Amino acid sequence: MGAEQKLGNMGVVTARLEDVINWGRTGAMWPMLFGLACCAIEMMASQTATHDSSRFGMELMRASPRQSDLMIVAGRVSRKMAPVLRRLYDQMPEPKWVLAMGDCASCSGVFNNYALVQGVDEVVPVDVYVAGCPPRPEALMNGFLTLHDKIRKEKIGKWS
Amino acid sequence: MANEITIKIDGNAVTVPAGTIVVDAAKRIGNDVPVFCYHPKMEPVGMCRVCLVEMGMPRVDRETRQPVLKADGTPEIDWMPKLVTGCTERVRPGMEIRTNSEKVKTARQEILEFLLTSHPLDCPICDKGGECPLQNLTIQHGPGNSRFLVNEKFHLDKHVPLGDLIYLDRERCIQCARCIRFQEDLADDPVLGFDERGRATQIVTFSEPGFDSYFSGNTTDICPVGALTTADFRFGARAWEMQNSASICNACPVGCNTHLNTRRDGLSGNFAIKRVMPRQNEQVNELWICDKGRFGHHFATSPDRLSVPQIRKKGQLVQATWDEALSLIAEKMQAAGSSIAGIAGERLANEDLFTFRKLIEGQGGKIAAFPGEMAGGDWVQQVGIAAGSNLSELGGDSVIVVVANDLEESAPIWWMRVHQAVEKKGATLDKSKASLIVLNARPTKAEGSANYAIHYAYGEETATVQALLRAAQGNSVENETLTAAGKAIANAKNLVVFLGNEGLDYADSAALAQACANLLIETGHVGKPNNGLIAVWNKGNTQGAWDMGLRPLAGTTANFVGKSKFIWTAAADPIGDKQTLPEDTFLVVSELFETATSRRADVVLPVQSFAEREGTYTSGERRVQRFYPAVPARGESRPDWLIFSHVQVRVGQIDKAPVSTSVVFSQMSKEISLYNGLNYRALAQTQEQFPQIMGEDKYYGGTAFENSAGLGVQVRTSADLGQKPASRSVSSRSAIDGLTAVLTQKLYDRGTLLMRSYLLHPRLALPVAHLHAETAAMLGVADGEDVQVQVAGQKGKYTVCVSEDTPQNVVLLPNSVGALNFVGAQPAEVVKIAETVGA
Amino acid sequence: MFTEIIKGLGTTIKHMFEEPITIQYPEERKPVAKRFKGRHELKRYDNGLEKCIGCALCAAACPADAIFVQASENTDEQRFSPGERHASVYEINMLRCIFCGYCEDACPTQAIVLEHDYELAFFDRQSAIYTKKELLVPVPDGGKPTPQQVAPGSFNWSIPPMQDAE
Repeated sequence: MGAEQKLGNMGVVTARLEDVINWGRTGAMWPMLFGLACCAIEMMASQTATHDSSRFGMELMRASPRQSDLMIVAGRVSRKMAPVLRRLYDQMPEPKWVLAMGDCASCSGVFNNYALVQGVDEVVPVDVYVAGCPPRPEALMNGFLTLHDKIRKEKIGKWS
Repeated sequence: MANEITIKIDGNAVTVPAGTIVVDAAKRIGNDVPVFCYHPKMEPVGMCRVCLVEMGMPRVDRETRQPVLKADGTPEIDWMPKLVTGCTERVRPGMEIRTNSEKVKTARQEILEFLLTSHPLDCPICDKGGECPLQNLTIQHGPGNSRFLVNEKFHLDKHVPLGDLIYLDRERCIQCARCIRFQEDLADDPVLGFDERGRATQIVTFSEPGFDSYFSGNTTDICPVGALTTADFRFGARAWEMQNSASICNACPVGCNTHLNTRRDGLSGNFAIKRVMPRQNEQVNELWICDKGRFGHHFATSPDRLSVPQIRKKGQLVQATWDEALSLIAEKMQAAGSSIAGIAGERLANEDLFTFRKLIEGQGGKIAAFPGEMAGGDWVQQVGIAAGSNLSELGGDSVIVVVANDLEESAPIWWMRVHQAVEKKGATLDKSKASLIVLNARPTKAEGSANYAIHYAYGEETATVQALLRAAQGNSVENETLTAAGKAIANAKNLVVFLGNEGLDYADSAALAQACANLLIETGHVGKPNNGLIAVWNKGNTQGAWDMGLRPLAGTTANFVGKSKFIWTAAADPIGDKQTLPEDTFLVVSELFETATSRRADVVLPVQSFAEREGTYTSGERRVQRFYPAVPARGESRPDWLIFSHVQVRVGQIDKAPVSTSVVFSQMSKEISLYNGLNYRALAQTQEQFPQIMGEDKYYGGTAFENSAGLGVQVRTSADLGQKPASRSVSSRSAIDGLTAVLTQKLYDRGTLLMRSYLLHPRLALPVAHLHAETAAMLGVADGEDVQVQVAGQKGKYTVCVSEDTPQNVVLLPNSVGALNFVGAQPAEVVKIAETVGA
Repeated sequence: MFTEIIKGLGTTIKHMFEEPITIQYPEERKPVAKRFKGRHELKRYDNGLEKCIGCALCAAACPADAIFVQASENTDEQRFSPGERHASVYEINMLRCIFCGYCEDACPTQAIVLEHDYELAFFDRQSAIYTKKELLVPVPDGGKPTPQQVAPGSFNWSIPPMQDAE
């Protein structure tokens, strides 16, 4: 700590590499467009001027998995969609995160039936679940912030 | 049938037997006339008046005595000016009924409005909510509004315990008297009654302890409101939240069909059996189960169940994997050669018993059923009650003989059905009463309804039955009652014998079974429905054990196992039952709970209870019935048959363990000739039964469940199959001299399983020694004193109860309650425990 | 054509001088509608007793099967709610709940109310199950926490009247 203070005077800031990288990751996260149902409307709303998720560094919703870090699964996933979801997830470069937006993506919510995947965590590892049917844009952004909390706590040894 | 009458209900013709009640007739064509007080199993009283219908009879010309016809040729109907209660009105020729007219609808609305004046309308917290006839009927037929004010409702006590098991909510009661009539007419325990008048009318119990009946739980089922609730289920769950699985009660040989209602327990996270409900089977338990079956299920979900296999290492039982345990067992089994003994408890399912016998006998060992105090299974296979029998069909041309048992304590539902056959107090078209002959050394409850009650001295059971046979053959015997009873048998079309083993050891029991079989064979009552022998076993699946080829372990366990190097006890606790096992053997125990035997064992295997697995039980009437899994398995426990099969694989008897119980059963049905042709599908078949209790009309049969999981199959005896059983001479012996101790069956004994139902603890039998006043005086003991009873080298402390009902020179001890455990009638010593020195 | 460009740029310039409409969530929050349905709360009476009587009608009404209720009996020594019965276990799975408000409609004592909290994000599904501890509102001023010990016979109605008990 002492070194930080002294070096700070000279215009140098020291910090742990973990913190710096995690800070960088939280600040520039590009979500992948994965709107599947009604939740997608709210997800789009979070990109509008009123809510403006680019304030969190989420400038763009990328349609290509190769260019995105965060997969927002917004909507119910049918069993037929599940392999596609997994494939797109696999195509995303590391590091990558998954946010299950809404009840259907989290645990299939009100649809307790054979046709839907009962929670996308059956298919991909989910980092944050956001409750709501659908969640309002603020709730989604609260999910982003929760995810940021998680990323900030990531350890260097866990990086893949 | 000649006695059939056709009536018209709302213009639809229905043909029913004479004597049928109008609401029953309507029910047969799917017209649900609402009822509260009427129950199809009980005589109608017409108290609630919700079944009001319009009734009309054909107008008869007074001169010609012919019905007056209208222009179109149909008879002119005279409608009665006022409504009649459909439940008390029996069908008559030409009768016409209107159940849907405006007049009827208005009357129903008004009756319901009136019934609801004092009803608290606390449906959200009422245990009956969701399966409540009053709720259903109010929605279907009731008024939308009441002219009475909610705030002027009459408030009464909401929490009145009627004994330890049943709670009464006085506000909710609509005074239909179903519970009172059930207790009086069907259960033969008239312990309930009405008190007070008018709006304050309430149900009271006048027994001590309160509501002292083995059938008390049934009153909560037939209560058309939530006035009677069980202490067990009180606020336990809502009716619609629970999952239902069909099951079979294994507490006694009746084999009642039940439903287990299960739900996740929010506190423990485990699945819990919330309640046990009767499942309709008109040939077995109708709509009823006894309180032991209803409240005695708690062992299945008890927290102290064994959950992991254990192996003894360095003198201590330590946790092990199944693989280790089974390999060790297989290794030791092979090392022991044919010096193997298997002891099977009689609560195992048929599949377990069959696989166990295969395993042990396949290795050259010997196997027996424990405790095996009673004989007669072989006779039941030959002359048992014939297939297609139904105790409720017994009528005036039938004689029922109850020998050497207290039917209510051993098999309550059989007692209830026998009582109905003898008294005909319930609803039945055939009002002719069967005759009951009760042979016992002491007065039992059955004697209250008996036409002929004969007391013998312990030891003379066989001789008495032989005398009865001689009497039935027309000879006169010393005892006049016996002569008369014999005459009744000689004139009877049907004869059913309930055989027990009170005060009998195995040899005596075999002799008595033989004598009973002789009685049936010599009088020609075998091989036809509603005739034959029913053995009142002390355990649930003893008949299954006999059928699976196991013989009872007669004599001491030490004699049976001899010098076996390997002993396997399954669901049996010989050490706890005062038997000895040799020290230097390898002992395997598969059990639900830790027992005295399992503490001695080298390997302890946890098994699944009846609620967690599938299987079949065979009832005392030889009805093979399926039970189904209801809750997830506890810990790593496995079903018994699977454990035996896995060991079979490891010792090389079979290549692959069967995948399911149905595979075991199909193999079983091939090998066991009595079960030939049976399979799981046949056991799961159902047919329409009356009363029809399906659907929403809970008001008709109470909350009992429709049977959609199978009625089971009553397997045929060899007499049914045409073989002529021959009677054999049997030697009888005389009464024992001196003071004799006898164990009597109690429904609420202190068995390992029942002790887990804490609710029943206040009702459990106490260690009491019953003595006749003169015997007590002779021994110098008084009522309430503590005595030491010594029988067969064992000593136990009991409290004396002097009762006139006890025969002289006999000390009656409750079975599995005190410290003593023996079979038969044994010489006893009763010593007063001296006042302790310090006192 | 030139005028159109001017017109278009005019619109752009106009917007440049407008206040930004972006809501700076999380620092700034747009108020939700009065009847917005957010996270549930289990209400209490003024005296601190719980309104919930454990009837499980909310669970029955729930289209997503998100509510689990297990009831127990009240005694005068351990009184949770005014009636005979209270919820000893009350769980709502927020990830199953679709915030339809049927539970509110079904509740005979207006115990469960969907309030305005919408910030429901979880790292795992288990933590999305809210128990009675989290759902129950704090004891109001002047009330006592539950279980309360009350004088015998103070509450003899099976279902409490809707308004606050005196």
